[in-house]
Amino acid sequence: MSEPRPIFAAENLTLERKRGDRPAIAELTLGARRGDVLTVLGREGSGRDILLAALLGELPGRATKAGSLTLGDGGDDGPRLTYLPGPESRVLAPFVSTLAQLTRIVARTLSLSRKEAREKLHGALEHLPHTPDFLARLSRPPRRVACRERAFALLVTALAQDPDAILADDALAGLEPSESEEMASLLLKEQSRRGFALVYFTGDPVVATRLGGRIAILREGKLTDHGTIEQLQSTKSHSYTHVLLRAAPRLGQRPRDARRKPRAEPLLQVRSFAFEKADDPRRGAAEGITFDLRRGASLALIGEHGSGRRALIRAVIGLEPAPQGRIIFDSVDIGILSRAMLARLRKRVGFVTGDDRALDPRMTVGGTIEEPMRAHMRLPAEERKSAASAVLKRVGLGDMIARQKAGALSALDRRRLQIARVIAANPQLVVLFEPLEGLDALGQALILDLLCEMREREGPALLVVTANFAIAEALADDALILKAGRIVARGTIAELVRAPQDAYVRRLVAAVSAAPADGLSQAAAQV
Amino acid sequence: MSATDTAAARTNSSPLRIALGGLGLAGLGALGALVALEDIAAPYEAGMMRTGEALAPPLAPHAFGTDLLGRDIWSETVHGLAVTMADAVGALPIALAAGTFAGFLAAHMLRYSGPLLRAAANALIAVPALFLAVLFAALLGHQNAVVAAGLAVAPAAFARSYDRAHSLLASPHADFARATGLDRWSLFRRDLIFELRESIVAVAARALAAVVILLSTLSFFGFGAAPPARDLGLMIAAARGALPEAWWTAGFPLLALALFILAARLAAGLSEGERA
Amino acid sequence: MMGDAPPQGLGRYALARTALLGANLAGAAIFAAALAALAVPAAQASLIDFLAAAIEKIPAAVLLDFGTSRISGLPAMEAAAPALQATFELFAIGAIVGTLLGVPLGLALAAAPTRRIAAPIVQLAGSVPLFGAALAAGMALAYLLPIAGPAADTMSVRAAFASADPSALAATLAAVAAPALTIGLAGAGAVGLALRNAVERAGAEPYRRGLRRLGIPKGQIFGLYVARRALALLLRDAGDIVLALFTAAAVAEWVSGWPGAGAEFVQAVALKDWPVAGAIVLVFAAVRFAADFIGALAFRLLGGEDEPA
Repeated sequence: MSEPRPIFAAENLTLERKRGDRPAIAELTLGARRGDVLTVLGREGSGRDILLAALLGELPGRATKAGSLTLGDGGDDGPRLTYLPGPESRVLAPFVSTLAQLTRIVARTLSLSRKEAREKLHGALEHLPHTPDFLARLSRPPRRVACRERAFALLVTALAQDPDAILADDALAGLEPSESEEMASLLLKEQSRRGFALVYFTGDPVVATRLGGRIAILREGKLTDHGTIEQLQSTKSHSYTHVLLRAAPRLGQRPRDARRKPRAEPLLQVRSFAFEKADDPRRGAAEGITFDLRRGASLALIGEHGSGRRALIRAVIGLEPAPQGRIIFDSVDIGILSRAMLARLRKRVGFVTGDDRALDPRMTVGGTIEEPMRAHMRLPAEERKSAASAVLKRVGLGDMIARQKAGALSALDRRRLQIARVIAANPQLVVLFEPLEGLDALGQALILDLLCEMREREGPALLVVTANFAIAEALADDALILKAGRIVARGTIAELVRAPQDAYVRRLVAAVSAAPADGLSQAAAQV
Repeated sequence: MSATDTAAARTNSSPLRIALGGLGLAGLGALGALVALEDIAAPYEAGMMRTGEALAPPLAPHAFGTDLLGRDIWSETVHGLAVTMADAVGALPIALAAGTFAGFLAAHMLRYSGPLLRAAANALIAVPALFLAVLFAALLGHQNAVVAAGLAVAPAAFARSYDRAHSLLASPHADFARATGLDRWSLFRRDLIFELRESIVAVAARALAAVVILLSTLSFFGFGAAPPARDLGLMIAAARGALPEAWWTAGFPLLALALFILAARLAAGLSEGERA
Repeated sequence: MMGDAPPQGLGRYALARTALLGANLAGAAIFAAALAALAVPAAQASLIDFLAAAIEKIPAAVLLDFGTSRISGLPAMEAAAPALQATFELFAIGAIVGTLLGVPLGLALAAAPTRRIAAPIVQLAGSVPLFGAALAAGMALAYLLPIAGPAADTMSVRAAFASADPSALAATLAAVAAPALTIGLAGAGAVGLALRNAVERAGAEPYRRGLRRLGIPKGQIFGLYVARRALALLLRDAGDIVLALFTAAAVAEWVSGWPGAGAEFVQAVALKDWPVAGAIVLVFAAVRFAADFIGALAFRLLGGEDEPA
């Protein structure tokens, strides 16, 4: 049997973006053939974006300073490379029908008429699980198409072009864990069926692990390690490899203290909360969401986008009235409180959220930390400043000038600032809402460490809202699984991970486990 | 809010814009200095006639020439600029208080009457500000043209300020601040301090440009204050009879006015073609 | 935690905009009614009486009845009609001139090399107040052509075309030339600015690179998507452009003597003919609101969502 067709071969490749700069890629030797699954894993600026651009033919010839990059066997008939972006990357014009754009793409790359391109899309769709009106729904502009469906549509478009290789640019980023699981399985299934090469560019080590196959680790333009996940996890590999692979939160990573703390008074009690008023009050009471959160305890609300978690949190802190049910905070039914009293109550709540727009970009670093101290406690200015600088040191922003504007900080520093603010305010209840969103793998590890430390030292009641089971496991003991406004499972996290009863819970757990996606051929992993 | 408004906000921070803003402020300062030294700069008193031949062309012996009544155009322009500037500076606080500040306050503190006021402002800004100015000048009397101009600029300034404050209040960080217990009053104070620090000069300069245009147009139409306080608009109107031969009688006052407006526009960071 | 609200459907958006239009028109009617109420003798007494008279006038204002003109004795709308017609003729010519000048100007301002020359010129020209520009336009045209101002028997443009009398047509065109040029220049500024912003914004959006990577050539991306987007953004600013043209019309009419509604308004206010003033205000406001409405719908139809400007 002849060797599978080569897709690309980089031989000692050195690429330069601008003259005189450090080369974006240095002495890279890497290749892939049809049927391979290769993940190019590296942080931003590690050179993976340049490599992708080079493979797509976007770089001018003079960018190659040394070595070579050959596509295919070097002959005239180059391999068909298809680009697969992620659903959140804004690659489609937001005001035109999605289907029209995708059809145009297929028509253009295969030199077909619109009608033939449409048929190609249909053909590719046949083999994938889909609802009958999927293509009809795609005629909306991209903004109106659900993230998952956008990802699916982009995949179908790529497959419809009968590619020799799919160059995926973090194609699973932005998807919720269960959706990401689904798409990864689909992608790998199609890959083994059709036999194209999958080259996946990402900074997320969890995805690299889930896809199986080979992983090439880039750091500052150099290839520091290369092999299957088993090879990379062995002790013979580079230390940076270990750091990177362990960075993103995964189940079982952080050992939790199994000793249960003594049960304290409940701080928050939610009784029969529902998102709409039920017709039958008794049935509503039975089906509504009910849970307790004790002082110093921590509870995870595990739910994906659209599960109602946001509405639930907003009701719990009194920003919006609960349509049904009662919320009791510190023995006070917040439904009876006035706006002003609710505002005062919220001073006892701290937030860390993945949306960095939560910080006022105009405020200074010092001002951001001191604000809760100024508003809610009466401390003289001296004490405030020294407390603020102590907190800054603790979160790793010790070098930061207090007068720097929050808007000028990087995402990681802004997250640290949010945590610093919470520590300074010392609230009774801390809500963590997707606290690791938007950070790269190493940043996630850092912030998770800070959050765990905060939990140990300050010990507030913790409400962790996330779709990521590993984050929940690191920070909480118990969990409620929320889906489409209902609780589908509850219990200790250890139990849920060990024996998930519900299929949905199983998918969520699988998304952050350390094993590659199951049921797929490992033959593709052979170099 | 229209795209034209926020386009200016977007480009305001580029180095070119900052340089132009500085240039505008310098220009305003220079004109202000000229006006402060009015008595020294202008050889003749305001309105002094028969200083030379009537309708003499510029350069010799009168730098800017003379008008129909023999008044030295240079002196008249300096005096006229002084009057225009004084009027504009008088109208500015009215525009800022009734417009910008009121809009900001309404968006933050008035939960129900705020949107109502914003809707009322909508009706007023549908009509050209000039119409409002003419109306107010007729109702309040020509001697109160300054107040009329200030009030005519107020609705547009109110709407702009209200919309900006509203977008700030709807932003994620305001939502977050409310979620952690910050009350309306604190939010108002915080936003006001930031806005003052960042954009008070630009906002005031923009109002100044708008007010000057209205004041001079009112005077040109005959709705402004009567002589002897001749401002630039009145001068230009009075010079119409001598046009087009004696172009300097209207030309130089118009130039002075345009320079003033240009300086104010640059200081306000207005894009080319953008209305004050 | 802070979610973004999902965009409304087209039908609901159209309904919301129509409701807004209605509310705006109602506001304009109230304003016009208040203006017309000044003519009622009882209203002069005190603020309360004035408010009462204004409220009484509102239903009539909605039916476009503002009372009778103090000067001509006709119902206000009738008295204002010829002036309004004259203004709209001027407006139309000015809008055409403005678009013809404004589109290349906007493109010149958008493209980096030409911007360096065009921008300062426009900034300088924009600092001259409208009446100054109107005077200058009149003088310039007087040098070039044998222009006489509008005489008492100058016909409206429509009538002049209809009569097919060359001398009358020449006289009318001569009279309208200077004000039309003034409005054209003002309109060019407004259109140019709007177009520049539209092109800049449309060109900076991220999908251009994405679509190129997915295989669509640059030219198609520009023609199909960027240009369409720029047009949508331009149409959204229609209301602002209309307002700029109205202001220019009022000043140009006054300076050149063209008997339009802008000059008529100023005269009516000077002579305290409040019903006519109210009628004109309502018409101007209504046109502005209609332009806003059409612009918003056009933007939405071309795919724009109700995003922040």
